[in-house]
Amino acid sequence: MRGASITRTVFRVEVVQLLRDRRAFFAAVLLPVFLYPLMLSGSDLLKNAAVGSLEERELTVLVDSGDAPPELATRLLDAVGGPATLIVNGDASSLTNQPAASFPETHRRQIEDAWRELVGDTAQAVLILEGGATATGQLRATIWYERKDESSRTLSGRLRERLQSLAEIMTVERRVDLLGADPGAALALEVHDQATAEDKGAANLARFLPIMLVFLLLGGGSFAALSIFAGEREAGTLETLLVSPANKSAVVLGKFGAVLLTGLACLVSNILGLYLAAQLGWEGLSGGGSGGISLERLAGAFVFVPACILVCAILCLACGRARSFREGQHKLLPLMLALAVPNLVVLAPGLEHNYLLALVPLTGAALSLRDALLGELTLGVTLAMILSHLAWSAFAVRQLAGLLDAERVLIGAASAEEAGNRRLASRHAQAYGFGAVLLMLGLASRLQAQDMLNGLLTTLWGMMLPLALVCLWHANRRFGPARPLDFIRSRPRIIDLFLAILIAPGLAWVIEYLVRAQEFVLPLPEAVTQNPALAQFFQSTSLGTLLFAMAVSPGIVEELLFRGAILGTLARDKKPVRAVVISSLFFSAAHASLHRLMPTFLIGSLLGTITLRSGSLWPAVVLHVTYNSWVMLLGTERLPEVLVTGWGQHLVWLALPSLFLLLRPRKPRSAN
Amino acid sequence: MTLDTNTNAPAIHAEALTKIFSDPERGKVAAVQDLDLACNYGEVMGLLGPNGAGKTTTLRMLSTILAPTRGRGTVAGADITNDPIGVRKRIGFLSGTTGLYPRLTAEEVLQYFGRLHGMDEDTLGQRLEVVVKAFDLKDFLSGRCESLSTGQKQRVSIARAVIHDPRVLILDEPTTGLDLLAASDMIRFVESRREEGRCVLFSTHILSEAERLCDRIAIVHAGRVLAVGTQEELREDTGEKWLEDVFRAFVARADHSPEQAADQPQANITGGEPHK
Repeated sequence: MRGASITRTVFRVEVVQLLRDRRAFFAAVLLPVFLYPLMLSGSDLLKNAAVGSLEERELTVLVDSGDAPPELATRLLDAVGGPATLIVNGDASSLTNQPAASFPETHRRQIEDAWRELVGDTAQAVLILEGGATATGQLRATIWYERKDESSRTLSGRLRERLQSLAEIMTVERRVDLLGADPGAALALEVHDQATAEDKGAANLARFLPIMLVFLLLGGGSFAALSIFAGEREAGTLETLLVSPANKSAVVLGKFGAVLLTGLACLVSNILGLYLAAQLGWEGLSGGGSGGISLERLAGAFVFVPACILVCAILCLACGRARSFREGQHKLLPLMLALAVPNLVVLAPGLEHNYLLALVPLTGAALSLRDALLGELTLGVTLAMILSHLAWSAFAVRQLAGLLDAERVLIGAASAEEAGNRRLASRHAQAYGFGAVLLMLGLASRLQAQDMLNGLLTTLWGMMLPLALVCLWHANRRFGPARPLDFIRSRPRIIDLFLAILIAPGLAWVIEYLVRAQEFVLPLPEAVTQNPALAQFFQSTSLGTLLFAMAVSPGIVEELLFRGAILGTLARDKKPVRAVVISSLFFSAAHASLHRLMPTFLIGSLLGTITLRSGSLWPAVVLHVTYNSWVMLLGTERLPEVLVTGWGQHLVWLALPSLFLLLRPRKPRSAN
Repeated sequence: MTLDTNTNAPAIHAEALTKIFSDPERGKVAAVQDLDLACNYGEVMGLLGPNGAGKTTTLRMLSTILAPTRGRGTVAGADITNDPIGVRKRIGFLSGTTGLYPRLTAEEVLQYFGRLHGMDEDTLGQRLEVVVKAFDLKDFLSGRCESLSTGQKQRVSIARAVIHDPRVLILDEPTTGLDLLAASDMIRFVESRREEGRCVLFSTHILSEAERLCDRIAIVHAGRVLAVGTQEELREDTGEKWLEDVFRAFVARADHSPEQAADQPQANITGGEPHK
């Protein structure tokens, strides 16, 4: 019970502080209430004003009825006709001084051009009729308009609509004429929308509310989370809190409760704001009808409460580690984008909610919210969604308890600047990794498709090497003189280089079997297995060039980028395993091939581990070069026979002890 | 919880207390090494040393914010490793960088910490009256902390640290950032605690402060205690008249001792000092 009373105490104090914080109150409560009425009625107002001004304008359509039969032309003109339509019957001769019918084709074009010039000036659209002189001759109607002009666009739309319905009627008439059937037998089409105005409003709402809610929850809750967690550090009260005998989990729970209360207040304000907007006659919500969406339907939005809990917990996790308001705010935008993505699912047309989707954090809640608004909520799926979201939230809240871990809080603060530098550098390194992947996916594969050899060399030396150098320069500038993990500068042990060579045949063997296994799941397409262009390339290129382009160059450049620059920087900030995994993900993604994803990831991880363990980049370079050479020579059947079938095949077995020796734990070596 | 301040057991007892930080860049750094310390009730003990000597880390270990890497310690009868909650209940902790919640009133801050210490409402009300009177908080009790002057804030901070009537007070450079007047308030407060038979352990790098307040002084340098004793004892030991020279003499002695020099921990990179 002590824990509960501590939680209550902390909760009460935090809520009192939040209520006294005008920013938090404004962002969480006032903003959502007034946002919708203001924003949505504002947009309605603008729209109505625009439509109104459009309707007031006199719209003019010029009609050149050409040589069309008079009765047909009359009908057409009747169909087109409207109060704002000025009909200039097509005496094209006024433009060219020649009777319309006798125009040769070139002249017709000229006339058309002359007509078209009038669009946007004298008239908003021009309608030109051609043919239809004989009973079987087809009448062709051409509409010219300008899309950039709003009134021209509206007018052309209206014209098109009317002419299309006229064309339909004429088709039926023609058919009746030919078959002699009763006109009454023709199809009479009627379309009725059964949805009520409320349904339509709800459907509109369901399309954007989940995303909007996440944004507003994060925006509204951020002030609370920041002042509750980061504020404690800024005010210098954290140490005293840590030294109080209160149970830290209970304290964190109380703080989370206050953020959650803000989140819930934000949710309620949202619903209230939407109701207000609907009552004020916002068109999007009322579905074009009157009265708007009912409060009952809107109350369905409370199904989003579990997601609200989860969002608040994530928000606390993000803001809780921030040392200041400013740092917390920097995290907010990426968080908003990341948390909005799972909600985009509501935009998928016709996606049915199911038990599996219900388990996905935020996605499940967003779909439930959509269904609730549409009045189609199912009990089982909703329950699954609620339970799974509560479980996710519990997991996140458990992580929160670590936020008040004294050692991390205090020691972290002491070397905060260094840690900040490290983190920043590691983020930059990841950005460079992304850049490499994008370059490879976008540009490099195209270059290589055009010209294999030059494309490859350009990619490696022209794109990847500069990227690696810039990344290294950037990281070094940030780290200053302290660079104990500089793999590139540290001299390798000769034995390590030798061991790296011995690993290559075994690695090639293992990877080959893994790729074969992968084929059960992901069969290689023929374009890969039987590529005549590639075969031709291997045939026509000299061995030396091949080795340089496909083994030496990638070995050096890729290692410099992915191990030297990216892993080297990441390893200063992250745990070794994580650094290796992240750098290998970039390495494998940069190979721009789904089939090579798994093998390159494994090879990347191995190379990364070797680099970290040996403290030098060069064993990895040697292994990469040897591996690539071995695989290339084996694939093009240029490997000496003795290595394939003779004693060489036993080289495979050397890999394991070599790897063991290379990866053995050892004392870290200094940079020099 | 009974207040047994009259027992013979020392209020603070530390034995071979060691804290080693592992820094990803520098490897392992010993901020405090094999520190022994004993401090009695009714005594004011000062930890004297330059920045980075390990004072803050020592006080943080004794107030259980940091867990020691090695060694043992008891504070007010509770073991710092096995019974940290027991320690926290019995100590008051205050540092020079301590702040207050800007949007709470002074009274709310005091109540908040009283409740966090598990005090029931009656006891809290009584204690509140006592500290309000003792520190003369009446005039600004209902004012928000953000609107208080530095001196007023300091008085609230002190009241906050003793709201639960702790037997042991641990003060980490308590006069940092204080003007002369507020600092003298603090000094008077420490003296009053001694008269009440409480134990006060505080750290400082200001010699005059140590000279005026301390019954005994522990000279800390590079994570070790070089000497402990009353001011007279320390003067006699070194033959120096001024405390400053006493301090220098001990540091010089430690630096030249071959046994110490061999495993001298690196000073100034404790990572335990708060950033200022």
